[in-house]
Amino acid sequence: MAGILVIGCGNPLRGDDALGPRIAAAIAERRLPGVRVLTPHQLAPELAADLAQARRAIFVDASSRPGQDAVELRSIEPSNEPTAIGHLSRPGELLALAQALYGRRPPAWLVTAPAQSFDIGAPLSAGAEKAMAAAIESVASLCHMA
Amino acid sequence: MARRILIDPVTRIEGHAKITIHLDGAGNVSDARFHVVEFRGFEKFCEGRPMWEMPSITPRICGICPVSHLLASAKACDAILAVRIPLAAENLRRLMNLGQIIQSHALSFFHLSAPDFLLGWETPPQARNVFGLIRANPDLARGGIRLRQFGQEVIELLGGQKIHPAWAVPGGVREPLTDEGRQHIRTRLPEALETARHAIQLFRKTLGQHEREIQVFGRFPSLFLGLANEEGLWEHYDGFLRFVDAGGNVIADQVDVSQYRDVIGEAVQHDSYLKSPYYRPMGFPEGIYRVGPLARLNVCKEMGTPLANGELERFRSFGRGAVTSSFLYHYARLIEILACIERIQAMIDGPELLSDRLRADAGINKLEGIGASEAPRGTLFHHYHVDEDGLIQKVNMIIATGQNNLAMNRTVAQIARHYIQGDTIPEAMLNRVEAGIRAYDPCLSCSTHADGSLALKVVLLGPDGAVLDEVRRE
Repeated sequence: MAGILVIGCGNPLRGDDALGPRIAAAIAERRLPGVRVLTPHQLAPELAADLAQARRAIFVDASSRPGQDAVELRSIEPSNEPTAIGHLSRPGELLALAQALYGRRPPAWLVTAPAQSFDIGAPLSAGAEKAMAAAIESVASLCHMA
Repeated sequence: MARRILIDPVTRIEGHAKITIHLDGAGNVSDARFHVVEFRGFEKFCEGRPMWEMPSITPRICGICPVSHLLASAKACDAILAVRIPLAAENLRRLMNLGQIIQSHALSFFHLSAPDFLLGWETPPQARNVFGLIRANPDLARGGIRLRQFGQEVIELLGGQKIHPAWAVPGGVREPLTDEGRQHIRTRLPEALETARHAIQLFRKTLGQHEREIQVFGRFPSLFLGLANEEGLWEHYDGFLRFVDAGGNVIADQVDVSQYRDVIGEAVQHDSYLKSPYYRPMGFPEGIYRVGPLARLNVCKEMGTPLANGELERFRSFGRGAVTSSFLYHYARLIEILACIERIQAMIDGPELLSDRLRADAGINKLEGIGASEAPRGTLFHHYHVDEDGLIQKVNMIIATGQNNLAMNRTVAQIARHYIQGDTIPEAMLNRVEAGIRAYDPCLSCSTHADGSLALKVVLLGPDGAVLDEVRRE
């Protein structure tokens, strides 16, 4: 079985939406043993195949939730709610898909960093830049977890 | 008393959008709009960039069909170089586009839409999804997923990665297909073909249960646009623009892509960032046309491969002249998957696919270039102006979802008229309005992906803007 899968999702050309891939790329640069990093534009159903082979999964994403002003970490459970199945999947749905199709799913976490702007071609906002370091350490801690 | 119903955003469509349904004083549907709230600002964003970067930048518009932008962009750059790319490069680009159409159509059919019509419209949303499909027909669901994987493997074997391969370049492509890659594709073809044929047979069997949907899911006269080759055969990479009307009559043919502005105008509506293209000789909005699988099958004389040709004949029995029900986009999508597999079968053993003559070298020879190809959702145009140094001065892109914008509005209105009576928002209407939009498989994925951004909201507004009712699906 493969090791730890880090999936940093987002569009690097859309302002703070780059948080997911930027944080994941920073993890990749650390070359942690047994850690595989993916930086998809969007969460698509075929990621279920990668998840089914992982020992642990860590999703990293920007957050547009009102009121979130710091990096958050939460565990993810499988979800077969129908609303976002399709091109735009959610982490829980991918876990459920991995279980349904391949008979297994890894324990998974979602690390989110607060986003302020999604403007095309914009750099990370000051708030997102500030959240980056904490998010990277949060993901790295999960990677090091026994 | 006039009222509005908002559905915001539509589920199972990538990107954020909302639907507004306008009711008149008697509670009847008077109009409907499919609003796009994401701004597609790439045209301005690209200004000042070197032309050479465009095939790498523009695929970032979309995480679902980046190959389409890659190819249209590379073709626009070919035109600026004023080169004819090597035959091997053209065939390899064709191969990648066939893989792209397969994987995109497979996602649309098996993941997004099949649960609606294979599990039944009245099945609760909690069960009417891909998980329900896996439970009800695991072989079909797994076959569909493997079919999508096959299309993505074709892309990956050529471009080195599934998403955003920086492979097609101005003048050709970077890498050939390896012998191992060719062998892999060859061995995967029989299963892909079997899955496509099985899905078509199954879909045909269920069509009798969806007569009402065929009638009300966007069944109206319109024009259709697609590429066709010199003989009028189905085309996906090159060829000429062809328009047919609802009667199946060809009204514009052999239009060179570089002359697209002679036949396509672009209207802007105040409540959407999507442009609304129209057939210029007929004006706006009378020149409404549709693109994508339904249009391509209406436009072509034949598919150009035996199995797909046979299926095209059955498909055409659903229309008099052109097939005008948007519900049958699904059927057209399956026939195109079949055609793509057959075309890959026909080309995979061609010796030129392994050639290392893959790129025509040239500098800036023209200050304007236009490229078009068929994206899974319809004809895609990239139009660039550059200066003498090849820096982008102006960009115009016409995307498939924009071209279907007017037709999607009419489809939503037609469905809503059928299902809305009175002040309530029936569940059956919501299901079908969403499904009606999904028939077009619209792509709005210049959108972002952020946790917490997905929800379905339905709002009923009174004439003074007060919320009369609201339904929200997380």
